[in-house]
Amino acid sequence: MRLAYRFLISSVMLLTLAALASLIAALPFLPGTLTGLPFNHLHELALALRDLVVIGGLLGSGIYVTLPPTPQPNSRLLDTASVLWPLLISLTLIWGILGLLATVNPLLGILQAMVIALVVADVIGKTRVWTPIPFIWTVGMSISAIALLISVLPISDFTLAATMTTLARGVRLYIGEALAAVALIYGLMRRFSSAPAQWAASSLYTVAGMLALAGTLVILGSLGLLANGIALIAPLLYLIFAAHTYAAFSKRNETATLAAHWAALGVLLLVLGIGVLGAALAITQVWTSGTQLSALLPITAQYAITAVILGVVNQSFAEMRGQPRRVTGLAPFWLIAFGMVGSGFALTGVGLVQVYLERILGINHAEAQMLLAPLYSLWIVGLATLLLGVVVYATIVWIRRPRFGKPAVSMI
Amino acid sequence: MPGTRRWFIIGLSLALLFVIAVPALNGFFAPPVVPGDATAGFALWQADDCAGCHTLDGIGVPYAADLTRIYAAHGETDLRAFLAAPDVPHPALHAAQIDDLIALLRSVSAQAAPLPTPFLHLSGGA
Repeated sequence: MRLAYRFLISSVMLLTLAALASLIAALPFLPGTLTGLPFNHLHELALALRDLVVIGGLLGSGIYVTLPPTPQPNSRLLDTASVLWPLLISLTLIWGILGLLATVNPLLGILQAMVIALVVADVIGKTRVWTPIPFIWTVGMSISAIALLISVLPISDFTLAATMTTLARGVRLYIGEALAAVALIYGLMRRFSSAPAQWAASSLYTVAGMLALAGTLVILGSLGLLANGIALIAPLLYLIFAAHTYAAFSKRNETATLAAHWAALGVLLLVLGIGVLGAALAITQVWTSGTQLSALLPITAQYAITAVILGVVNQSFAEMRGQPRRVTGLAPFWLIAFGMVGSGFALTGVGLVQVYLERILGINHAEAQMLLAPLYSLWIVGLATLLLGVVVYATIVWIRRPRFGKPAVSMI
Repeated sequence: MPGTRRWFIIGLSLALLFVIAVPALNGFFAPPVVPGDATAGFALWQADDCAGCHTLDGIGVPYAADLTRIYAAHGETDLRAFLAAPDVPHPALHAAQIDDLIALLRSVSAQAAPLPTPFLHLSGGA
């Protein structure tokens, strides 16, 4: 459990840095902002940190949810992963601050894949009964590791490189990591819902198969390879997933943690992000490619997964502390929820108006950016709210972190 | 069938099959037919981290303008003039590098699906 704790706490701290870097990197979209800072490097650092938040959070959550809470013998695989993970974080931060991430991206990708592979191999070795949650989580993380390795293949041709980048990033985020996050939502359900376990197991297999297909539709849509009618299947599949989870949300038990709140936010962002926005971008691909709308899709997907991870942090830290009550309270939840949803809607507005100005009216990019400043300011307000929420969340989590040595309690 | 591991494996297998087969059948993995200087232009694009600010065929960051169709929109003469005397955030390039970069932009622009014609053309000021 200590390694799960280390992955989760590092994920929360990285989220703070990512939110700060995202906010600073967004500032040049406002006119009159200082242009001396290397904003594009900060943006790349924010992207890299968000990737680490998702990977570390999914690994820590996976270890916690899939492995039994009883003390395990030291594993060489997990020991190696626990050495590589802080090394990966340090290298990402150093190279990100130096503006070298684009150069060293392949090495970071290989290190990320190695850490995932080590943890997944350990979970596979220790799992005796393959119930749906460890099974789907393991499959999802394995797909992510393979996609990461594919994404670092050296390709000299631009067209092929663009295709492979879209495929690898899409498979990783919209299929692999999405499946792992959905498995974690069902893992949390066992804590906050009295829905029958057999129903939950059957439901997870059903929705996981559908969401894998939905992810494929979104990926093919981003390559411009889908007929419009087919793309509309993706939000329908995500709505079926939401309906399944509603059955669990409507049967809450007495658990006092906020796991259900975070899981609900994760479901909402998955439906709006990958489901609705993914299909909308597939339909409008020629119009929206290269605009802020297309940049929003992976961000929303990562926010959705992050919300689920924060839910696991809430639940697991309460259990590790042996105090079955809220760890962080509602204030950071609402700040982060408003920050994620609000900045997402603001960037949607930016993207829609950008498409209208640049691609319907034919206004040039620089002039359109000036006209978009009011909408960009709303986006920045959303990012600032998110940062505030994350700082409050991280501070409370750090103050109320588990002290190992005290007896743990499971609230399953 | 729904709600079983077999259902999930079938769904996931179909998903991964489609994600590889559909681009393959549409020629996305076919050997490149771009001229050599476009490949050198892509190497320059990567080395100078142009994707840190610009997007090209959906790849990159929309900090600055999308360059997918910039060759078709502005033409080679304007692009050469800009790249020969770039403003502050852009790196200075040698003549051969400008040739390579323009070859890349020409190649991507030629392959990109055309945008629908703008409904209105505005000058954006007096």
